[in-house]
Amino acid sequence: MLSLLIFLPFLAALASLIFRQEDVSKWLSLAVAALTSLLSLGLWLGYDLAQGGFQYVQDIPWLSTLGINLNLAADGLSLPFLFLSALLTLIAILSEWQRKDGAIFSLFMLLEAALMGVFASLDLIIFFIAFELALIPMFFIIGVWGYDNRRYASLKFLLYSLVGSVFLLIGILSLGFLAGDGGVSFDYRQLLLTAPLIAKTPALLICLALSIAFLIKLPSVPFHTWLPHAHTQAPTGGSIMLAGLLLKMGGYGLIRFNVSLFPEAMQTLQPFFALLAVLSLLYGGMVALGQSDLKQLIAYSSVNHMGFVLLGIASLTAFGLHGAVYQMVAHGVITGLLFLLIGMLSHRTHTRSIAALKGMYTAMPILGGLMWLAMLGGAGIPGMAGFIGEFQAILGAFQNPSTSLWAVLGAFGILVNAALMLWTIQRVLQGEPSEQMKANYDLHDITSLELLSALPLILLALIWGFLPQSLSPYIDVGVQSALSQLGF
Amino acid sequence: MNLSYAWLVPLLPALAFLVNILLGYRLGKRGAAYLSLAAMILASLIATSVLFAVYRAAPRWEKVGVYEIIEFEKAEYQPLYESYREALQRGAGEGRLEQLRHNLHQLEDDLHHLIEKAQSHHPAEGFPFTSESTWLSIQGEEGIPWGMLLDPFAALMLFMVAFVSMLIHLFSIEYMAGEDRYPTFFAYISLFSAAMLAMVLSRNLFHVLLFWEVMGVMSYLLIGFFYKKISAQQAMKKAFLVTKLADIGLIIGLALIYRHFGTLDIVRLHQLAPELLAAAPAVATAIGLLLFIGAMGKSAQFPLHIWLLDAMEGPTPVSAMIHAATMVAAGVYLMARAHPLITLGAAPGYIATIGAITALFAAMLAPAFADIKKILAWSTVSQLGFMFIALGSLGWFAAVFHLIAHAFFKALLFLCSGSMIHGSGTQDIFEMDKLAKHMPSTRISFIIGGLSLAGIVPFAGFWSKDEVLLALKHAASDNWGYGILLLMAYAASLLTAFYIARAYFIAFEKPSQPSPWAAASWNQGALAELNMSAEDVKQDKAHDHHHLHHPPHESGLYISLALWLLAGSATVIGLLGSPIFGNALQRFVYQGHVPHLEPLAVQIPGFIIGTVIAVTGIGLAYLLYGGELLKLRAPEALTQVLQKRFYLDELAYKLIANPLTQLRQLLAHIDRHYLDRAIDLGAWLVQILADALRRLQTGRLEHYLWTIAAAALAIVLFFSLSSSTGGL
Repeated sequence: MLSLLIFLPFLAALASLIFRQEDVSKWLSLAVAALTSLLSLGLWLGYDLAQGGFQYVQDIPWLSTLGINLNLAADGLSLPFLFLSALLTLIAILSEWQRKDGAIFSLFMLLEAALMGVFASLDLIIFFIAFELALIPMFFIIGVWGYDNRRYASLKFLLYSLVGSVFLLIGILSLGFLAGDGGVSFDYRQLLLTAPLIAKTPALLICLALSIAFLIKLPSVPFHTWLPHAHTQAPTGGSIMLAGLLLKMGGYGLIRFNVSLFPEAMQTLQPFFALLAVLSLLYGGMVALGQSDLKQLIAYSSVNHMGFVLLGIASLTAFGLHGAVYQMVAHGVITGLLFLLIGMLSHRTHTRSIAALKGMYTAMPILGGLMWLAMLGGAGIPGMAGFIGEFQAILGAFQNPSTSLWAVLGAFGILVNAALMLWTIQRVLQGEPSEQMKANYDLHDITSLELLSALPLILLALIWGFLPQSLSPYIDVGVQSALSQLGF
Repeated sequence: MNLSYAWLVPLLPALAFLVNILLGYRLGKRGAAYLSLAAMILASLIATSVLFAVYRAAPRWEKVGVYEIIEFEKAEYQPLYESYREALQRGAGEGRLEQLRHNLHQLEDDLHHLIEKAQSHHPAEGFPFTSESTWLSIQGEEGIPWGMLLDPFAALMLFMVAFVSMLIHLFSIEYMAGEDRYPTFFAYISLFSAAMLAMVLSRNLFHVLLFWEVMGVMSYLLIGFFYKKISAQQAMKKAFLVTKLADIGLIIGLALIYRHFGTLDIVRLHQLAPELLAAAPAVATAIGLLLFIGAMGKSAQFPLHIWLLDAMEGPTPVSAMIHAATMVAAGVYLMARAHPLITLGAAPGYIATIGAITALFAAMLAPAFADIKKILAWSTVSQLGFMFIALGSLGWFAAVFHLIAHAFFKALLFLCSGSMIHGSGTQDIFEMDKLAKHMPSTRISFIIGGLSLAGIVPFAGFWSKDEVLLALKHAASDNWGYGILLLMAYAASLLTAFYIARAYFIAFEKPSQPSPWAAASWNQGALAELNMSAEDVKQDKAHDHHHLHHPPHESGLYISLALWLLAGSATVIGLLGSPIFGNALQRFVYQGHVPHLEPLAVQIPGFIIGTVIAVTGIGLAYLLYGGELLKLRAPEALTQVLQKRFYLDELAYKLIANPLTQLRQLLAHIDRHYLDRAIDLGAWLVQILADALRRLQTGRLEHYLWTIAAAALAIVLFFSLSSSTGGL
């Protein structure tokens, strides 16, 4: 089943390349995204919580002599992301529906295939390939369909990520050789047993190498400067995928590999991670406050949000890790929604400059109202998913005496974030639009198609804000297996 | 007995919110309002039935028996317990501890007998009513289960909130009739009420926090209901951020509680607190202070009170909502709920001190304002101070009693002020024209509310304020520091009677006159940082919905009905808590142990002092403003300082907001021009290197041949040298 999630979008991408017809690729991509959404949701709901662990396992031999096989499986940690990958692809496709160019849709398909590979593979080499493969469609999506400064932004995105990839590859290869139990092995299940046996110093170095790749992806301050460029220049669909999923590969990697395989090294690196988390929270938030471009502002607020993820991971407690994953899912939904709505707004106004916007709520009550809701969701209001994630991350970090102080400092990130969103609401939504704006902008309210594409994200943000029992048991199963490695 | 249906009380207004926000404009103006009102009426009825169910199930106490228990505790149990705690902290020998423990157990048995004797009706099975189900589960931890706690305290709060909110809904139907966004307004206040109702029912502190924050969001949206006004935009943002700042304290407090107890469940915390905190007074103090910081924000305690006055930007029913039934009540509720966690540390002293400062400070400012809503806002701040005095004096019931009495009479006063504004078209008491003549029904309601606030027998405020002062006196008998607070509380009481009588005399009895301080209430506070010109302010003010110019008139049926019902219930609830009626309220609402009561004889002196102070205040106001027998006015400079709120708001902007503004600009600059450039520098260095290396690729054969020859020579040399030295 999992291989379908990878190969369906992959084949769809190939098919669109072969047929090279706009309508075919549009509808084919849409159909495949919808199908994979349902499929991944089905897998999620069909996951046996009582049994736990990896399920839907598929071991397809490939380069067996090198220890590389197509091993696929899903557990509570990956299922929410598999579902989000499909759903956000669907929404990204809808957000770019007006494009006359079929190629962007096949790139979205390729991106989805890569993301599914990242979240479903148990083989580290396959994981690495998928991790790298995700860069390429995104590079073209930004570089071809982006805004004015798209070339610089896409190149920066690609090169920055590749620097991380070098470390990731070194880390994975050394891991495979050192923990190969006589030979070479890249099987995650095997490594779970053998990786803790690696001597202290090499383990620390490998852990550090992986961390660099994941921290760039997350991104954490000070490795975050590619993000604002990429987000600002990316088309709406690109931003949705970037914020919703590409960043999550970082947090996912940290929990799946760093915490699970190198529990001791992570304890050594704990203060370092906590420091970066607090820096992301406070510095990221403050820098966001100083932005004048709406997309750039939301991009920096993502740095702030990812600070909670990193804080939760740094805590190395059940509550913290749980909160980190919860926050990632919440951010995927809420920030995805924000970028979607901002896309609709800039489609009407042709500007992303905050100074050129005002009174958008008066002009477009429904679109404005939804933006208001999404921004409050970004500010972490209760009743939306972000609130629960943030609280858990702080509580978890406070629980562990060695990160308590960082939790207290990090808590102020909530305030910075709230200030940021509220001030943005005031500048963009409140007040009355000037006559000039009314004349220059095409201020029609949300269309049915747009509303339809926003609806799933709104509903998910609310459901996971009020009923965490629909999400947290799965996260818990995933987190507990990572924790068992820590020896708690 | 299954009381899960109590969840309907918050659920109904929440559903009304949902329907109104999605379909409100289809329902039409009236439809939306009646839907919200119907939900609230139904919720109030259910809350009443819940209250009776809990009353039937709760143990009933004999007054005399309770006096005996309290006497016994004070004389015998407490001293022994104190010496046990001391011994425990000192690390006394096991023998001595054992002895003390033995004695303690004996006394506990005696106490148990007394308690048995004092109960005329034993608690029903399953009392207090609780429920629990999975919500956020984490293996190996308690996580955050969902649950309900329905004890007398919760039941009474549930009833009070539902009832007062219902009346505010009723009032709003008429008051807000001219608004375009009528359905939105009703959607918001319904959810506001729902959040408070749900908070009161929650048994997990996380859910208390969750609904507490929902209230924060709703107050943000309601304060900014006139969102096109710049002053409203500033005020809504300020309210949200100041309370959010305080919430950080609360969040860390919850984290500390979870770390120490492994649970956030109120029921379990009450059981665990004495044991786990007795040995860790520092943790108890920290928990107490952190929770208090959260409560300071919501309940507008000094110096986090700065948001409340600006919150007057919201429509008047919203002010009534925030100041009576919800929002500010949440802080007091939380502290009363958590009092077993707080009392064991050193926090109560700080709480009482802040409470007393707030009570006096706000009561001093109130007489310097001319806007009726702002006078009432300061009054709320001051009365909340009284509640925190009670909490800090370990009189948690006194705080709850005052909270409930205050909810009724402050809602009454705010709705009266709404009626006054509605009828006269101005918020300035000086501009109001002899309202006594035109608005008889509003006048009587205002007098009832005002006398209650001033503390005149037999209105609610009299009984509840006395209860607060009684708790403070008890604390003062042990610790002289509380004596100073007592004096401050008396001074605040005097000023309270004074400012409310002043407002009454000027608004109701005096003809309209040009306001001496028309501009004073503007261009400060939330607007201070914007440096708006007088013209801007005027333009901004033009968004105000009232400003009709016609002679004052009495309000219609809905408004009057709401006023009368509030006035009536405010009086009844006060009497229920008074010693004349045997402190029925106290004997019902208690937490876990035995209600704390004082015989009437002990209270008589307090009643006399309270009455003398209140009458003096009112008399003073009459002399200065009513009969104008004394032509004394405060010096200009003092008025200036008071109207600028002791410059606290400006200070907050100068010290916090402005430096942060500069910091964000600086950091954004650094990020863009240094950090990001440094990354680009890396890429640029690679490029330079690449350029340098490219030079080697000349494409000329002889260059390559030379290079190969040199390399071959080098290899030969290297190996011959290493073989000669290494002996290979």
